[in-house]
Amino acid sequence: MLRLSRRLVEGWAELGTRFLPFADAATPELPLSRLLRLSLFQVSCGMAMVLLMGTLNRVMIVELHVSAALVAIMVSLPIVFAPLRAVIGFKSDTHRSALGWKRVPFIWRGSMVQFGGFAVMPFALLVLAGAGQSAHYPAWIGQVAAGFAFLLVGAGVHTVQTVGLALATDLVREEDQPKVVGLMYVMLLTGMIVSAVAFGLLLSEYSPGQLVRVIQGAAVVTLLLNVIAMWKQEARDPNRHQPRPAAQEVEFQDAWRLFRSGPEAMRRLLIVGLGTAAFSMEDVLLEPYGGEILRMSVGDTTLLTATLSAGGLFGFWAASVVLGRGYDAFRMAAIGAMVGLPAFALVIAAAPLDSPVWFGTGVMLIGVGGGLFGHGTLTATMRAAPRDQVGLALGAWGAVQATAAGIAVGVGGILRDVYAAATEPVLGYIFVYSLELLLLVVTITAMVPLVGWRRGHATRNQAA
Amino acid sequence: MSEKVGLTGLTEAESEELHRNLIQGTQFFGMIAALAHLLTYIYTPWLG
Amino acid sequence: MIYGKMWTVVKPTVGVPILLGAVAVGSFAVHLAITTHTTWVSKFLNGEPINTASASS
Repeated sequence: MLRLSRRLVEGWAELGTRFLPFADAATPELPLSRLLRLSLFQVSCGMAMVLLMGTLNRVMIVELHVSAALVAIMVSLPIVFAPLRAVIGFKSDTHRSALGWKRVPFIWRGSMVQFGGFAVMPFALLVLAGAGQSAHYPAWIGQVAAGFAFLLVGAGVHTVQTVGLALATDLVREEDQPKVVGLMYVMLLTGMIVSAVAFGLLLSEYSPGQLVRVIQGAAVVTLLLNVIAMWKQEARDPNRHQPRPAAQEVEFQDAWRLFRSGPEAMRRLLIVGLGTAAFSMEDVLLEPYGGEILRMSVGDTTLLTATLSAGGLFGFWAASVVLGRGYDAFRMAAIGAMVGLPAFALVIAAAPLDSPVWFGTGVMLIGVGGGLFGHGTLTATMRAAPRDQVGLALGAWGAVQATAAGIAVGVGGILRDVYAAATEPVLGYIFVYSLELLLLVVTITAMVPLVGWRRGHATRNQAA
Repeated sequence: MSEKVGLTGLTEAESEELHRNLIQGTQFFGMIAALAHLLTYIYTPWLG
Repeated sequence: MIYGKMWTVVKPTVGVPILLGAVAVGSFAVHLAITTHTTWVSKFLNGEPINTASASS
């Protein structure tokens, strides 16, 4: 009996590594179980993003009857903190600690802040909606409270994600970084998909009590996941507890100047911003495009999200495999941007051809391109980061990425509305998709000097 | 700086840092709890 | 910070769970007591609409 169960366990473990993508990310020093555990922080980040952008967005408008403009402002508040990711990363790089930690305190605090935001959020939303007795109180109480809750969650997500990625970079060897990036992206996506389904089921029968339970449940899950993720991950560095003399204390401006002086650092950030904007602008427009223009059913448009995710997963997987063999990460990002060109062309062509199949193919390619691009730029950032500036480099990447994505989604929606109102609905969408095509072309052009296609492979390798 | 090691193997500096984090965490938790209860009261005096 | 040196005497592996556990168990117990000894919390959680008219009086 014992032997049978042991064989079962062994067989199960083998099965796990065989069918799990990125199983080979584990190294002797860092077993797979530990890496998977660390990547749980991405699940909590994904959950928070889905809750803010998707679930609460809908609940506030449909069930709580908050005005759409107010909802849009609240939901976009967390972006305000996105540029601070660079500062957060820098702070964790230079954190002085008697305990010898630089990442754990930040992940802990970030988790606490995110937890706190979720803890007050349901009540803040109910007061914002003027439900119950709250109509007797001035409206600003609800607005301030809800804004505060959204800001807290946003600050928490930004901190946890930036410092968590920096910790992952600290822990793995350089040649394993692509696989870790892939794993992190997959876990983020997993967290988003699983929690979107879970929130949908849990809130299918809405009541204020259920809203409180779901959001506060998310708060507890966040704290649990993040504590499990960071438990005993970071080694204590005894050198960290000597306080530096004041003269040696690094200021953010100095660190930033040093970071900027890296090879083409600003161009890289610009490319990350442009490319991310190009790949995110259509985010909230795909489903209405399918429904309104191509007359797809609700079930079919929901499938679009799954198609996009599947494309993204394939992109992450392909990038992990290829980059793991030492392929240039920025070149991979350029390939991702190029995959985006036919993808958006297909999406645009779907309207005159009235072809949902072309549209679906295009959406999947957007997923693949976005996956390759995101993976490529993040891996390139990790590889280029000096050992003592890992947090700052990843923070800068995250700051640009999150800001660009947030602004692009907002601008995409506004442009569609404005242009559609001026002309006809189809043209509103096509205008935005064409703009994304244009952005991709600009991104690729900006990448040319970096990937060195002009000079050929050999000279580039010598330069590197 | 003092490298005095206590009974638990922690130096005084380590102990102080751990304590600071704990206390600040508890304070933050308390403030969040107070705010949440205040908002609940505004929403409806004790869910009546 | 006051009592900052207590962790040189109390093992953090023992003291920290006790402290955090006390906070968690304490707040949970209060809420549980309210839920079991009154009717309005479970009413609220079971999705009954709150009575705005009577509560304001």
